[in-house]
Amino acid sequence: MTTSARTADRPLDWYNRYARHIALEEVGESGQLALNAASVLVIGTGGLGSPVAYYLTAAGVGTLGLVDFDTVSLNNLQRQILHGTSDEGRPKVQSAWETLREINPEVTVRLYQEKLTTANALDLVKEYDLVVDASDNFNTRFLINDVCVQAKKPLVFGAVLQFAGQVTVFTQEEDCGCYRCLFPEAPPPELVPTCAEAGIFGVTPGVIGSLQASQVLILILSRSGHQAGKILKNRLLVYDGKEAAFRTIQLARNPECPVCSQPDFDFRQVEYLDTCVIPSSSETAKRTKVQQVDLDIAMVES
Amino acid sequence: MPARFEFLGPLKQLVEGQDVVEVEATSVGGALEELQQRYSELSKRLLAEDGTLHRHINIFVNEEDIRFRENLQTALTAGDQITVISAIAGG
Repeated sequence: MTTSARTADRPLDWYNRYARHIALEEVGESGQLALNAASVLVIGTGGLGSPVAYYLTAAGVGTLGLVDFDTVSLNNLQRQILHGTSDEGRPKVQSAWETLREINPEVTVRLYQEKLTTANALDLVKEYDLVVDASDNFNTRFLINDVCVQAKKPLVFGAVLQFAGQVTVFTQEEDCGCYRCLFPEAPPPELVPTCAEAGIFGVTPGVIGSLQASQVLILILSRSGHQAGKILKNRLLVYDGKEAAFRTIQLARNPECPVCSQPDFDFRQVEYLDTCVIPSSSETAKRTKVQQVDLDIAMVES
Repeated sequence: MPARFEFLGPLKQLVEGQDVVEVEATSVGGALEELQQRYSELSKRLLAEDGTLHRHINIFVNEEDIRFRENLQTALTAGDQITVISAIAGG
């Protein structure tokens, strides 16, 4: 039973499905339509990507792109809630799609069972309104940042380790920094352990991924003229699950950032290995540009 | 009044899980040297071999990134709040 008055020529099911959004002054029918018209690329369908994709699908974001080359392992299931026990060994994007279409079959889901690389990143990102970093390694995170800067796509960043999480939004506006303004390079592998090495409290990515989803929705709404909330622009939200505490740290754009402050920056000049160092201008000049290759992407649309 | 250091996330382990560590020092670098006397793993995790701050570590003095001030030479005054964070990548 719907709780909102039906005022336009849309199916009754639409009003029913999104009734609690439509009832919000900050969303309403026009906001819901903006969500329905939006497209979001989610890179990673693991611990962070699971809640992100769940909530964006339930919210009726029109088109979701899911990028993940990996298959489901039993040790994923403690936190990667898109996938179930019977999915072990199956492609994560396939498992994710089957879960998501049950939640909301009106959402178009595009599946990319691929690694994100310098060869495919720009073609993928430019098809979407905004990007969610739900990846699990520094190489991919720096690549996502760099391609989003170049394509001027807003990026909703989230990362977790053990009981800790970080969330921020890089809007790609003139006054907003990027991930490299905050952390110019990746750490040597021995200094920051992976979740496989250090462990991850299962609900931590649930908290951070939910915050990412919230920021995505607020960003879509604000870009369509709805004042639904504040964006974490130039602010890093830091979560401590052991203390049940959040901190917000003010960030600033680095006027000498080798990525977002360089108009001629080209992410395809960077080797995304280990520390993801930006080559100096002399090295860049010597380096042969990485060849763009045709995408070979398994794409499924529901 | 000493400066107050907070190490967030996994870095908290470097100071044996303490919420706040107080240090009497006139610069961020001086404070880290002082802390190194108490916590043996600290310098290795925060500083590169050349003594500069690792580029995946960020230190904020009263919410301001020391990279935009004088890096480790950034002066400290009584009561300053220093926050130390590390890049993390898990997902």
